[in-house]
Amino acid sequence: MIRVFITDDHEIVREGLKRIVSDTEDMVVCGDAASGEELLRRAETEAWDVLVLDINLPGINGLEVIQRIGATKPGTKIVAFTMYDEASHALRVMRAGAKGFLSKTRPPVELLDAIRKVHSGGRYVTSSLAEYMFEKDIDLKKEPHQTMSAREYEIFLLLGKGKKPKEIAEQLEVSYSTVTTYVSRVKSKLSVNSIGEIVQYAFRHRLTD
Amino acid sequence: MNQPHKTETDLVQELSACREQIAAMERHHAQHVQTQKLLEKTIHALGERNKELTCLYGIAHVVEKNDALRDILQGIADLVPPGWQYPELTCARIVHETGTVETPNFRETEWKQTGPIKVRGAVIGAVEVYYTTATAPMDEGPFLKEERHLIDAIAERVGKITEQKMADEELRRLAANLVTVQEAERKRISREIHDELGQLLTGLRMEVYLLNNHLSGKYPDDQESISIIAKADGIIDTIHRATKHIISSLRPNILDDRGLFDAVKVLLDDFGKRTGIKCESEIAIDEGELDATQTIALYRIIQESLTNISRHAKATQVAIRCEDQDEALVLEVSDNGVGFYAGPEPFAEGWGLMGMRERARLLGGAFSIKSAPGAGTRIQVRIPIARDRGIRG
Repeated sequence: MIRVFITDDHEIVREGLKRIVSDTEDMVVCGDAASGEELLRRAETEAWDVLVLDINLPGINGLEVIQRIGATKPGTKIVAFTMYDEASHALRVMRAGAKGFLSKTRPPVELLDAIRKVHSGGRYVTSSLAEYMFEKDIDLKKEPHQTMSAREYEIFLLLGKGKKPKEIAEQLEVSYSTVTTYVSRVKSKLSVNSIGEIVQYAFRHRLTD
Repeated sequence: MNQPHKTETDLVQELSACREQIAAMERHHAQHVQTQKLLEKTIHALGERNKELTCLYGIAHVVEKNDALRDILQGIADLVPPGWQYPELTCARIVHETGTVETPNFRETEWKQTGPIKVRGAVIGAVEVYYTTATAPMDEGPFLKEERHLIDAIAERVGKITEQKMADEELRRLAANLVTVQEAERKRISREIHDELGQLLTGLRMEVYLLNNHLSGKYPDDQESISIIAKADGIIDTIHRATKHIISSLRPNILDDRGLFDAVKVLLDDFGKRTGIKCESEIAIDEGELDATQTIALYRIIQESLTNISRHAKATQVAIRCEDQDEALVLEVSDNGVGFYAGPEPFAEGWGLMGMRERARLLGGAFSIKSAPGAGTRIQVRIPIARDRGIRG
């Protein structure tokens, strides 16, 4: 029996999740919470196999919850949920420690598949997310900057040193649009949205010394 | 010599007739002189009226040629001296709530004529004419009554021009406000749909799933019910997709999260799949130099262009180029469709095109369409960009 704990701030969804999991033969619902705080409080005294978690929670956000659970209860597998845009959050959520990630628009049976998959030690992503990760050449086992191609890394370092895309294009003697394509790829791999954040990442990892 | 014999009576009669003729001629001459005087007076008056007309036409010309109010006022002030009796002795000043302008030779003296400038009934300034030296007294000090008419007419024109400029300015503010309000609305609605509708649908789908489980558990042979439920589930899936699409066209999260480059890629991807049109894009800009208003405006322009293309162009290829060019960013959307007539003036433009034009204008930029029937269409937007030295997003 897989022991499942559910956290979602939307009541109708939470109740639905509880009933679907209860209705499944190889799973049991151990409890539910409507916020990250409630979840963390209960985590102090309870034990579960799989945690189903909406990453958009009021109060403590889902990412932080994943990190804290990962630290305090490393044996608990997490399946993370989001309403719509998988691609935007996937990397961050997976790197934070979630083993499964899917959108709430998927058919309910996929959630059950995800729970089983992560419980048995694997990862779960939807096929469209898998395609996206393949396209952006994302490898979850390595550090983000270690998953870059030589060219991506070269441009990443230059950005990290504070060079602007135009300067990079001139220096490397490539077209401006080539550089902007690479900037987009670097942003994807590092899960950041701006060049400023790229600079911060490079600084934090001491890659520009 | 044969001379007719004239009697005394004949001679007296002839003399009488001669005297009458002379009198008549004198009367004609007097009339002639009078007519002549009237003519001269009329010509003089016409000459003065001509000066007035010249002045007023000149003002219309100045308004046409200049955009800034200050330049217009200066132009009008310069037109005043030639409109008065003694142009070399005349100088003018226009006192206006936005500032004062004067002719180069300006000097305040005691020989002054002023006309009040009124905007919406309130006096906001005056047109002032001064003679630099004393001259012969006329109807109003040294000034003619015709000049009083003229100064009042000029003051009235300045008032009307000011009102027009104020109205233009208000219109511009309203337009900008409208766009801001519109975007805020879209963002709000998009958020509400995202937060509420989607969740409820998810909940509904779970109920349908449970219904299916219970039904197929109790009545495993009821194929019909099972297939009805499967259909309902399929519809829910479709609604999820449609909702996602609505949210995306209202306010694409990806634009705020990942920027213009990625947002346009997704937009084109979706567009290409829906319409079968081959799309390519080249976005070579430094997004760090764009602010949120510029980003959303560019996105909307591209969005609107694509809508137009899918509706009217019958195109098979679309290309989007966005690049930095010195002080400006240039965006081009081209298609190989049937084209349409884009004349010199935005004549019968639809609201879509006007909206794009307006967005470009609000960013301080320019919008142009190049199109010819059968030769495709190219829309170009140029917006000024503030380049800065520091590291930015």
